[in-house]
Amino acid sequence: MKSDRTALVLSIYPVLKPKAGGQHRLYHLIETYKRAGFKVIQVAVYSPEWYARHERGPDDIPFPEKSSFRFYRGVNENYLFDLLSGPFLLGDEVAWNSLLRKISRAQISLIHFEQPWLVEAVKKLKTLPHCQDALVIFGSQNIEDELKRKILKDLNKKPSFLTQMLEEVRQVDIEAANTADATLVVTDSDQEWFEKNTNAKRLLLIPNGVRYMNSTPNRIKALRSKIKAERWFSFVGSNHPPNYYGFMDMVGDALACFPPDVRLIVAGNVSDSISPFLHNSRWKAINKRQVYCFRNVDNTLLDDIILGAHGILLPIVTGGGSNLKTAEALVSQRYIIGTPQSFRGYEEYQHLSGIFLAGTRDEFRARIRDVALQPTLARNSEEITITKNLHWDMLTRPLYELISTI
Amino acid sequence: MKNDNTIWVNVTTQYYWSRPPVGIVRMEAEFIKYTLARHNPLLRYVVYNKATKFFVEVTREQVEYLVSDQHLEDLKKRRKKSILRSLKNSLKRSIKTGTAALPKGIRAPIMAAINTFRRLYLDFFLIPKFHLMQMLSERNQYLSKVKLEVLDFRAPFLITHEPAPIQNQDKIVSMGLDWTYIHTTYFYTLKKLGCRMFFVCYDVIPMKYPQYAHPEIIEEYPLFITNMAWAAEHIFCISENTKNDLQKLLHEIGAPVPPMSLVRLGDDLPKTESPQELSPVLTNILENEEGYILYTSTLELRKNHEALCKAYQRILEKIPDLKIPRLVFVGMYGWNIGTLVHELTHNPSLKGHVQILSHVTDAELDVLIKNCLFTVFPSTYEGWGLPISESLSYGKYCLASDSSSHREVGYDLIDYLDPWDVPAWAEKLTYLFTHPEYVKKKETHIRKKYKPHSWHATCQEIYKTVVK
Repeated sequence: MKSDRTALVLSIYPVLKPKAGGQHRLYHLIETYKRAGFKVIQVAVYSPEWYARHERGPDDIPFPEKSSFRFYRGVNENYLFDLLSGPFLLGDEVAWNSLLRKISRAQISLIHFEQPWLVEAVKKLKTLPHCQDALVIFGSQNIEDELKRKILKDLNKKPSFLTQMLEEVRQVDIEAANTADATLVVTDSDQEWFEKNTNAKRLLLIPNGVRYMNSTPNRIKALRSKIKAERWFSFVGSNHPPNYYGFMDMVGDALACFPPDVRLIVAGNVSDSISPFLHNSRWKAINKRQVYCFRNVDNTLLDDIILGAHGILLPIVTGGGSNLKTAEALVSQRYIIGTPQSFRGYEEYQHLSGIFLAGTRDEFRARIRDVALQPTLARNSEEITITKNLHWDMLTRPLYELISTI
Repeated sequence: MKNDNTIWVNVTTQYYWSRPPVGIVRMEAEFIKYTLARHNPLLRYVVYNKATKFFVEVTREQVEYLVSDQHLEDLKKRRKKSILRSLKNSLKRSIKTGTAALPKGIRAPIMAAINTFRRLYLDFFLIPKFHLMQMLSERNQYLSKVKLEVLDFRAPFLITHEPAPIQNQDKIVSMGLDWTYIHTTYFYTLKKLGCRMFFVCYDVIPMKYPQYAHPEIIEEYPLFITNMAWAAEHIFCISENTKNDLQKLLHEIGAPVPPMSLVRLGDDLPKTESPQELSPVLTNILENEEGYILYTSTLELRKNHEALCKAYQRILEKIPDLKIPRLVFVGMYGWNIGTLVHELTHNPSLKGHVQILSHVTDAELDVLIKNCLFTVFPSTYEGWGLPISESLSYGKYCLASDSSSHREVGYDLIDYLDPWDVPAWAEKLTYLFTHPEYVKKKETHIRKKYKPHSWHATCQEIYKTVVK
């Protein structure tokens, strides 16, 4: 019977309280497995210093900061954590036994590993009798060596082992695709890369999607009264460098491009960087009036901020993969002011009404000024239907169909 | 198509301003006088009511009073009253501290006597006065704020609390110290109502050089500029330099850039009768054997009085025998001038060579300009440089700094120096003191070439654009 099927999901971050884009993606993939009738055992090899106790799942395995496995050629740096998590799970006896205990009573029908880092552990698991028939699914999120190169460049780091390390990362990606029965990719270009560079058996394109958002007129009214404005733009993000660098580049340190009665709501941890940037600016008097920062936002407040907004800012100038925030903005049916990069992975949607792309700060600000004075966006039903395809349950349909056959 | 929309002239600055007029106050007053003379029924006047935070209408008669000499006279009296009030307050504080120091035995009866007096004062004077105000006030809920306003002694008359009947498509002309008296987001509210707003931009100093701005303005001014940019149908700039700076700043902060045009400030001083009797201070200056040179400007850091003081000191030290004219500063005391005042008070070399006149009437200024050897203007940055054009309209040579808009004002009729180059100022001043024929020659050229611009023409330019 289908309900007896068990899926083992491996990752390098907990997904109990998803915050970052990657966590959200994995959370929704797990939801798909559950929707298809799988019982899911989720095990994350995580760095204890990055996640609070309440964010960790019961089966997650800590990869201690002081573990000898945290060194790569004598270097212990955060950017190496992912690459080293695989050898740790395989080589650390306590960690490996902990994993075996968690799955000892189940017959595993599916093993999903998110990002390629734990591929060697998956290969070893497949040798175990209760895992040997499992369908293996690799959830790719990026082309990892390209992303790693970019991260190191942003961090201004050039370790002596850079070339060897990037090659190692590339090989992990290739090995993951070659090992898996199916590889999930996020964008067309990622799919092309896997087609060209690996012997992946099956590639499923599953772009990043969004959850269903909801709000009520009363909640939006309360938010209006809290920020003392009828109209606002929203900028939502984690405190990830591409997020705040993009804002700094495209919006700048003065918010006079917003009319005096229109506010900018900055939501999420990105406030930690944006708030001091705006409040220590030479134009802080203007910014103080225009901006309202919500650092900690739960989904309810986030929905109110997005669905109540007049427009959504996507000032993305760097970063890889597709952006979940773009999908959220598209389904919210609000105006979007973004950059060509912010529509990576969503190119087919960028011609919908209410979407404005700008390549420079001047253009970006001019768009804000124009859009702020426009009446509320009203898309036709056809366009609304198109955007509904961006919800996770629609986008994960190929995966759902694949696993339903098991 | 007949244009019968009202043109509202914002006279807020005239209403609240309580010191001798400065450039902006003067400009607003000139424009108001110009509009009053038009007798156009479509012209009406508003004051921003700080309590209700909207424009209220004032009558033509009230506006006539605001720009009259009588108002200036009354202001002087009110200033005196205000000083008396501060004295009363400090006396009150002294009594309080004084009684606290009294021995316990006599403290109680003295306090009781003071309290009885205070109660009588309240019952028979203040409270009836408040009741009267209440009757006068059309809306009781604003009473407390009205009370404060009237007791401030500075308000020339009580204003209503009913919003002015400003309609969609009406025009509003605002050219005063709006950032000081008005919650300027209101301008944008009016724009959204459909009003067409016209502003005058004098400079962007508080944004470009905040170190020179009054601390209270540093925060408020960028908001004013932003609100103005969002609300304006048209902005008149008083120089090409101001226009360029404003456009650059609006671009920098991301605000919209509304249509702008230049308007040249008038340089004719109000027609005054010669003062019947000169004050002893003025007589002393006029009778100074070596004559005097004149610098007309508020005393503040940006105006760079310091450069002149240093140049004077340098001349006195280098050529001790040179008989140098007195350096006369005419202007109100501004802010951040502690160092300058200290220098002038304690520098023995400058004693007797530099003099400050802080409350000079138009008639006295007229006498001072007419009789000076020449004028100086070392200011580091200006929106226009009115003292230069005023000097030229008198046919007087001016030695000015080479900054901001000064060349737009003085063309090639005068000489310019780097405001920070003290040795150059010392050298040039020495030359001018020892070569009066050069100054005379320049003055002849100025009289021949300089065409004064009347305030009437300035106001006409603005008015024509507004009514168009």
